[in-house]
Amino acid sequence: MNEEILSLALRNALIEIKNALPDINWSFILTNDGTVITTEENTVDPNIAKASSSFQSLAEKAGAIGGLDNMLITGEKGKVYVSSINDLYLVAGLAKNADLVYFRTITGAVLPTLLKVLDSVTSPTLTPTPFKPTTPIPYPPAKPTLARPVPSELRIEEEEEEKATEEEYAQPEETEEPETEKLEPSKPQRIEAPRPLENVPSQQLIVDRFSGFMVKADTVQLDADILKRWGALLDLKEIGEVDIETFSGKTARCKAKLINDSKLEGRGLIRIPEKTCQLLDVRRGELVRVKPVTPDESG
Amino acid sequence: MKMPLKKKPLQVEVEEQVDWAPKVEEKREIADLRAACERIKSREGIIGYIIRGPTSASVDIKDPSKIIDYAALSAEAIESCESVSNTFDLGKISNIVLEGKNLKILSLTKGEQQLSIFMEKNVDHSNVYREIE
Repeated sequence: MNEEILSLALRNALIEIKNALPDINWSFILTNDGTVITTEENTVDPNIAKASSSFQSLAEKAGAIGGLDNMLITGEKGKVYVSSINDLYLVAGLAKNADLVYFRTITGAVLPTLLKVLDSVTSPTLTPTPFKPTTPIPYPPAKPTLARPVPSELRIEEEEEEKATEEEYAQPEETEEPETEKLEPSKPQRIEAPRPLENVPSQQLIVDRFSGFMVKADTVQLDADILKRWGALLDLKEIGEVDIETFSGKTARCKAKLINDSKLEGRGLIRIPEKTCQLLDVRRGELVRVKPVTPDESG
Repeated sequence: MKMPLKKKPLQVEVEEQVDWAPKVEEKREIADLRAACERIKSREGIIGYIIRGPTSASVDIKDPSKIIDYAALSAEAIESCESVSNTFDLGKISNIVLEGKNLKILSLTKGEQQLSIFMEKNVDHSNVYREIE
């Protein structure tokens, strides 16, 4: 989901909720890693930044009780209510005598629905989306070599584009065969054409950085469910590599492995080594589009 | 025939106040708090409690393997919420209710004692709070 759209939609929702509930003094929404996504004021106040850091450390420890679902702090002068909505937390400062039931009803109905709608509009996970614009390049590539071994290590946008042109230049040879067969109606058309890029599933995932001595920069970690689903869609036993694309357009191809931390499973995360995050210029909590590399693409 | 021994009720010794010793009232308060927690713990759905003072702590959790995690969470909840309260000027915190997916915690500070009671989600924490207060 586009971060800007998400932030704008949630900010408008917070403003509307505040209009309906005058007992709300302030509110903001943060991710489970402590990143403030949106505030009513459209600016991250230092107080909010400080509070979000407190909530993040608390949310981490709350794993002992199955994760933080909601929290109410009752003070002499007011209340703070924290509520978990999907992977986000709504934090609201309320008046001392605020109607908490009404507040919960409104926020519990509006925000999850909004997130669901945004998710379905911007990131339909079941409908395959093209990973990159695949406009045909009319001119032949400068290098005539067709098959160049693809290094398994990380490579950046320029190299990928170069390869894309090479692959497209190579494709006509393969596509000629099915065309000739079409002319003979008696023969069954059983030749498998190369899978078009549009049919390759892709998914937006939240970036989580990790580092360490034994961490390989060219290996990212993904949910078992996602890899399994891609494997089933592409009819592959396992997904060995994935392409990552940031919203700024930077791309990288990395080896794919399962997330090794059970606490991080099923959260829609892609764990990217710190070095690779720097190369891609992405930070923790940002969204990237990830798609599996098919054997045709991996060369 | 031997007569069964009667169980003695919990007695709190009242000591003479001296400069170097902790205040008698404080001691009594701790004893009262523990007694209240013991009473509450016997109820259905209560998992246990942690009382932490400046020099000592009492822990009674049904599942001993969870003690460290619960103690860390309880301390973090109180510290984080105090920080949030200072940041947003909420005044003195009367209580914190933290609900997880599996259970919930009622935390509060009484004098110098930080108390956290762990309970199942269906327990009415407001009753528990009233009993402690």
